[in-house]
Amino acid sequence: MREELRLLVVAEPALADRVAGVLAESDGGRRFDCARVDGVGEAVERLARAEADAVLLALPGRGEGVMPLVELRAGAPEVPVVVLAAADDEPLAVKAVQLGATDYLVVEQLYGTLLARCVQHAVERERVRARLQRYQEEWPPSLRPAADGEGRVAPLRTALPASFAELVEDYGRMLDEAVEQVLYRVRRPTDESIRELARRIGELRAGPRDVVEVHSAAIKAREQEAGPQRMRLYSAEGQVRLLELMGHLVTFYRRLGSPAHRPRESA
Amino acid sequence: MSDARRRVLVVEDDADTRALYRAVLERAGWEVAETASGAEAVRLAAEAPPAVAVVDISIPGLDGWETTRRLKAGAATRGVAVVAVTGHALDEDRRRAREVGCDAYLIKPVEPSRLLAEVTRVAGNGE
Repeated sequence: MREELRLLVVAEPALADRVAGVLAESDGGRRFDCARVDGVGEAVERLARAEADAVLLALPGRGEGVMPLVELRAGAPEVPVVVLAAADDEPLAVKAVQLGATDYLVVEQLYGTLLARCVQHAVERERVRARLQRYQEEWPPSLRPAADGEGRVAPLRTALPASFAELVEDYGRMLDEAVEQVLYRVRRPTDESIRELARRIGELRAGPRDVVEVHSAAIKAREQEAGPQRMRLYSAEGQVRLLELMGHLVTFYRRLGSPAHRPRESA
Repeated sequence: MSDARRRVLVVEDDADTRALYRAVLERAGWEVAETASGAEAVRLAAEAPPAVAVVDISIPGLDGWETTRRLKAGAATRGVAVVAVTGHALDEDRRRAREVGCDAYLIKPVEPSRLLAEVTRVAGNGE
């Protein structure tokens, strides 16, 4: 894979220049090759020619709403999009995520590491999701994720509820440790634990949707007790762990070759 | 000339989501009608039956379940394939989807590729 990440910035020139400047100053990780376009139409044309790995889309604010994102998602559905919105347009950014944007950032809080990390995670997450999807599409139809509940495998959550609950608990503990790591700057052996968790998930022949459900259930379980600031940390760290988990799962399946049938749950 | 086999009715109360579904489907060559109301959907479908109705279950008023049930009960609309869209991956929802006669079931957020795949599949245009 190339080292440089090609980012298409759909924004007015001043904001696009600021983005390029902020990314140039960010240390560590990938280098960015930023190209700016004026509108979504041009962005879709360039994406059709595979000229970018991700899009940073500045929402124009009131009036147009999320329509630029809608056009982008319809024209280039597989390309990860990170949305930029003004602080007082944050509800619009949340709406954008509901419509399929991978993440959003607030313009007023734009700084190097955050922006670079957010875009890299968006790209990696989409790449891993697509790879997992391809693995699943090679599976026998009876093991594919259920879209209609007819003749396809049931989600892990309902097929193996006890195993699902255990995974949620262990993954949640991992998130707790990750958040503590950020808050108290303590180091914990999370990498090895997440690889082990991926192995367990793989042995249950789970797919990307199951992994996301484990992640969502663990996050939801923490909403009751954690305050908003801590929840933001859970959300941010959770994205990293989710990505790592999916990455390890892809590696597990690749080593395994063609997956066999989902095992039964022991009593 | 309008071709019923290429017509989709989108029933969704959120205007942005409707716009997204419309944009995705139209790009793939589908003719799209849309409404935010279940009652209106039943009326529109009876007037010009589409091949597929994409129905959000959580619409206010006549909800998606009842809308689907009426579509499947109507003489002119019982052949309309229904793709139910819901925010919940609950077993109860899956069971109800089968009971009222939904042909497919999608969970939000709906990936454009998945929407297209299911609409094409239930319309029988996949070959």
